[in-house]
Amino acid sequence: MKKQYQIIFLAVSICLVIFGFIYSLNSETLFGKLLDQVKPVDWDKVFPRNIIKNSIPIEILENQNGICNIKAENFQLILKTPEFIRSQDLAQELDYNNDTKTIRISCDELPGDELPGEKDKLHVWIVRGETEKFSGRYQYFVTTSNVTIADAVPPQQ
Amino acid sequence: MYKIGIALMAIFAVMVIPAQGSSENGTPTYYGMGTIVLSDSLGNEAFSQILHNRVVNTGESFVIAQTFKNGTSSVADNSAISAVCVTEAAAFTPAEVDTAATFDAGTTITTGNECKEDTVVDETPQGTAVIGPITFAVSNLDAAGEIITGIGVCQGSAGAADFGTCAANGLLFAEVDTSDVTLNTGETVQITYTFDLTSSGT
Repeated sequence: MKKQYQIIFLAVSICLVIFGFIYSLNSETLFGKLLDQVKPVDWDKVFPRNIIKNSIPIEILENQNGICNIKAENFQLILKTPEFIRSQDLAQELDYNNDTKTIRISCDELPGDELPGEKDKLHVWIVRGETEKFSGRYQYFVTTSNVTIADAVPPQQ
Repeated sequence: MYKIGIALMAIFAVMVIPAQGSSENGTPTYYGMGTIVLSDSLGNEAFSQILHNRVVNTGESFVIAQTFKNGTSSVADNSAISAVCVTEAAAFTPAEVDTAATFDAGTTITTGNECKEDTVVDETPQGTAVIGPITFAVSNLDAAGEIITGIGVCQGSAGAADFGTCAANGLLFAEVDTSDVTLNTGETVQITYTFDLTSSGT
């Protein structure tokens, strides 16, 4: 009988943890804030004034086994965005070379035929550092060159 | 087994501890944004950026004074907020206490053309005011190769000509700290300022 109570207690505890996890995903909890730093940014939950948007034209130079070497002449302007506290993380993530002004992105993330000469647009959205949700996070994505900064919408991660 | 259960209960308790501070849902919904678009000499877009603004104290007071009966006459339409001035201030950092005088003091541009105004501010959709896009060229700076570090939003004037200082027409409404943009011969920077008072359900 004692064993049975223990199993029931454990089952209830597990259920509570699952409930707590789901609750913290959608509520202002300390645990939820920790999750904000690892889960994909939900841009609908970030107030517009707390989003900084950047876009620059890019051009594919070469496709090396699925990794595209891309000319990004003005990438430095994105890195120098005011309040962009994780700019070096982005530079590292895109393997930015300041001498050649190039970045490297998986060709699968590009919208076109992924051939040299293709011109696209790189967008980087940044959450300001002092915000309640997703503070300091960023997301980059590539669209065709005719998409304006005002019309761009980041894909679901 | 009880120990595991108690540990899980403790984890549950940690998960539901509320965070300090208010949710964004509880904050005012109005905001201002600056948009800059740098184009090369062929007119091709080279860089675009949308950033939040800082409405300075003089701007907040202006909104209140224009809206409510306070014993002070409202300004004429020609003098309403409709102009954008660029600055080359090094390490430009908007502050709530900034005024037209402090903005102008840091600008460093002497040509007298660093402010441009929109003759008719767009007010669609309802609840928003959009100044611009206003196009700046090298002629608005002292020379090619100079660096725009931010913008100020200021009062307009009866004429539509470019003018030299924010204080020339009155007060500073808001500031936007942008990425540092170098303007070379033939290149342009289009600046748009949007002030949004819309809120859900209204």
